[in-house]
Amino acid sequence: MKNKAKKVNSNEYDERQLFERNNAFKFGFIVAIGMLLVGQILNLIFGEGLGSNLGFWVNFWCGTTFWVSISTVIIFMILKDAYDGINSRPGMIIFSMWGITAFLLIIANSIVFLIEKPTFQALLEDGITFSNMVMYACWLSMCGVYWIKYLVDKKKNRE
Amino acid sequence: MSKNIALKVARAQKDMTQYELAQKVGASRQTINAIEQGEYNPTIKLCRAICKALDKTLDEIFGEEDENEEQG
Repeated sequence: MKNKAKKVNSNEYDERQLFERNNAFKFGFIVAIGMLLVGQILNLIFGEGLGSNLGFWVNFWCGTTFWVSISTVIIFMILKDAYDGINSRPGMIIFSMWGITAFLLIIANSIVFLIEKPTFQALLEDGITFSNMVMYACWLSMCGVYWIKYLVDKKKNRE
Repeated sequence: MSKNIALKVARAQKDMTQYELAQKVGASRQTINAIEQGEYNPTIKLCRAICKALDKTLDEIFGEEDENEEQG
């Protein structure tokens, strides 16, 4: 019974980590609101230029806002050593997978761009491509921040 | 916040690494490091756990250092 309880607790966060995670979610929420405001301002400025392209704005708000906010929360947690638990490092696998996937998808998309050669206007109007690019950038940045932080901490510990 | 030298010294006396102390008190190594560096102010619950793990009193580890500073 005791062993079982210990296993359940193995992924727990300590008090400082919980505090920092709480701050990260607050920060992410503010970023999400900020993104909505940015979207609204862009809509006011370029709305006419994009015409009645609902796809772009739906994707901007749903895709871009979502991933930028989520990556802000996660990067905040990584920088404050609050993503991984006391005895676990789930980030190592998750961010490596995201990083590799984003890298491969960027290569695949670049090949498609080179073949199809779409115009800038067409890319802008295609909300899915735009929000996908933002999503890949978010995955890559999370992966990058995680591994840089990990290597810097490792070097510091050695010293 | 100033660095918690007393904690570092007490840990060294016990020949414990930050990781070992962290495991003993149920915190992460980074949290112990943050306490030693004076970047984090722990709750009384964690303070007591640390003191228990190092066989020290709260005053010895987390007491005011003003007296020592004045003497020095």
